[in-house]
Amino acid sequence: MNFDDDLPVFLADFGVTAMALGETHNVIFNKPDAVIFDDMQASADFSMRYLTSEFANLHDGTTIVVEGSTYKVRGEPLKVADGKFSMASLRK
Amino acid sequence: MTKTEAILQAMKTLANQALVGVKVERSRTSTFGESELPALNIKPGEDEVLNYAQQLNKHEFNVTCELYLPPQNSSDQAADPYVEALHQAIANSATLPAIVSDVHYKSRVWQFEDADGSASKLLITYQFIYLNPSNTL
Repeated sequence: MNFDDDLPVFLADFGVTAMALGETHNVIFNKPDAVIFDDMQASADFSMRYLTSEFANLHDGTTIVVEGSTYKVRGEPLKVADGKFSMASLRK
Repeated sequence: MTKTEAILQAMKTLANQALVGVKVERSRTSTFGESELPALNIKPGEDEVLNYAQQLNKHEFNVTCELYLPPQNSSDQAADPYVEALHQAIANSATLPAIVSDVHYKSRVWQFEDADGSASKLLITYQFIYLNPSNTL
């Protein structure tokens, strides 16, 4: 069983469409709320998880459209776990 | 009413008048939602008492105003007009001289966190000086 072949299938099943730098791929988009400043202020904490091999040139400030809404990448994306996936924090 | 309560009430009134579009609260301990920002939370600090004369105390009462701003680029810069407006309101207040003998701008502390953009919180502390008979607050 080749787990790597399942990754795009996983994103196709559970992801949403994202467009940046002329590319379109499926990503897992998260938008929970977070509390900051000792729980005194609530804020959105947008992020997306994507295949590292896709969106390879994302960096701080890159504009990306996820599910029709525009965001900017916040900080440098980081690889997670075995590096097959990366995570990018986003801001509106 | 104690002097500290009179000061805090005056501060809230001044802030409400001076800071248009800012939600002003007193001693709030619950989370501000994004729709409530910008917000100012006025909190009492220490009331230090020094013996000034026989049966007369000198009070140094610190009040901290916590300014919460929506995440944005240069959020600390966005705080500046609010800080200036609050300071002018305190400096030109007709109410405070009737309550205290002096007000000192004591400190400003900036804090930053990464959220939906750069979030900043600014703590502005003022010190109120007044004399009171030792048998009253």
